[in-house]
Amino acid sequence: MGQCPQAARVGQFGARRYRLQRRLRVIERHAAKHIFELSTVKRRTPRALTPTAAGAYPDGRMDACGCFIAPPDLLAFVAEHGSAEQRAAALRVAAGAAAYRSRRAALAAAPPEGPTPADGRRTIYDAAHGQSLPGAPLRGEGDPPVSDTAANQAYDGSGDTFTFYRAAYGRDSVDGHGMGLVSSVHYGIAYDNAFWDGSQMVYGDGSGQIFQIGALTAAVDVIGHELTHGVTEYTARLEYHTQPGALNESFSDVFGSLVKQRLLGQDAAAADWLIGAGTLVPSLGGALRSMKAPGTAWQGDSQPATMSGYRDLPDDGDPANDNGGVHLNSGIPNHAFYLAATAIGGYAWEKAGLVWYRTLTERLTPTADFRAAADATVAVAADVYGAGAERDAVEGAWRAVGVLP
Amino acid sequence: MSAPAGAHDLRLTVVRGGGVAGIVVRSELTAGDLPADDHRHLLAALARCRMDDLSARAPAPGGGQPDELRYELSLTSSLGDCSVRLGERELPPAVRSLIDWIDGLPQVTRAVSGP
Repeated sequence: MGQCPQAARVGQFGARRYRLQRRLRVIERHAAKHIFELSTVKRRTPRALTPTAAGAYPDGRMDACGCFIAPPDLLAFVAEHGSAEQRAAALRVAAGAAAYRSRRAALAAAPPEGPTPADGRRTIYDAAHGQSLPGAPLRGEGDPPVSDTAANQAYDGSGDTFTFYRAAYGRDSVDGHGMGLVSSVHYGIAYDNAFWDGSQMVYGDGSGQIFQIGALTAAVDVIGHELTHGVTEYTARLEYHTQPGALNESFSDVFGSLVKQRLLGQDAAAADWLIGAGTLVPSLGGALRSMKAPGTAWQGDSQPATMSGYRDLPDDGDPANDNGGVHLNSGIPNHAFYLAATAIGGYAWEKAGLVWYRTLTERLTPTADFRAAADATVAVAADVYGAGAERDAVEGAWRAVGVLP
Repeated sequence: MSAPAGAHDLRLTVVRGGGVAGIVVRSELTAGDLPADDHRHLLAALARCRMDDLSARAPAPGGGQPDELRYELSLTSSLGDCSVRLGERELPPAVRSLIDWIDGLPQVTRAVSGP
């Protein structure tokens, strides 16, 4: 005789979890019922009513801002009128939202955090598929490898980046003063991204639909890219939109690639000049970006290599416009670096890299555009190497991409 | 209980852009394509998102953190339309849960492009 469906589900999830799921379903059905009712009410509502400053109409409805789904303060309704279980669940959700707003307000009011002197010590945390950072500690500086592959990769990659900056340019960590390097792995559910949040690295596992699962921590140039966003934050502070934002992205690509090249012992001619090679699922393409041949890294890649392909996207908050094309137009300064580095020859981090590093850390201002970056790199090349082949290579590179006339 | 007009032709579009890749992923879902339980779940999840409250906390352009994801959620139906844009740090748990849930639905059509 077969097991009934309910018994099977209890067996699968456990009795406690099953009861919680049933409670949630009850609340959801209650919510859906009131959406139907309130969406109907909204259509009958005279528009002449004026909401109060708090957003509530005199009769208790909420300002709809033209959005039919918004009116119900549903959780408040359930908390007031629902069963004891429903009320408890609704209050838990409401408390979470209040805590979120409170945390945001506290963050907004807090002064910028100073560097944490820690000699670049690494600490890797497990976000356990949630969004609370940093999470539970997994591995600290000097600890032996752990059983978590992503944690070991984040540990090694942040160490490689720290070593790169110290060995190549004498820089002591992200802030120049030994800042500890904090990384959280397993962020979110099937999360397709890695980012620098202003104080630490964050890695998702990837969904297998955009990024390959586990690929983001495996790519040392991605780790170098993200930590370089931290370096930029402590130096030029390039604004993250339009041309300053594209420069911000480009400097991260440049030093992310150089971290990888130095690790592999590759000179400029041998390097692949790809960013995030092997991170995307194969059906999308081989890499995120190509500094050698912008616009060819994956199937939707439309990065320009020169100013003739520059796209003036608005910085309007539309996710499709990418903060004014910061990941798009970065192809232009990226290609300029590739051209300069290959023209100079040798290990790219030694000469071209030094010019770009000094430009980023000593010359640029937050609103710098492509022309300002070009002029600054040419000036730095002349300062460091004199009026010779290196300066000519840098100037020629910016001319080739159409930034300098 | 039967759903009134507007519940079945409701269409939700989630556009996700930015990130380390700069890849734009557009996911679209028509509520009427969902089984009854999922349909109810979607409507309840949307209610928890409280879109009006979200539009008030939407970030100003230019304030993005490097490589954070940006989102646009748009609802259209015969009853009306609305849309909200949010940065990664502005995403409340209810919206993140909705997005995670939608990502796992076979009825979602997904398009991937550059910016």
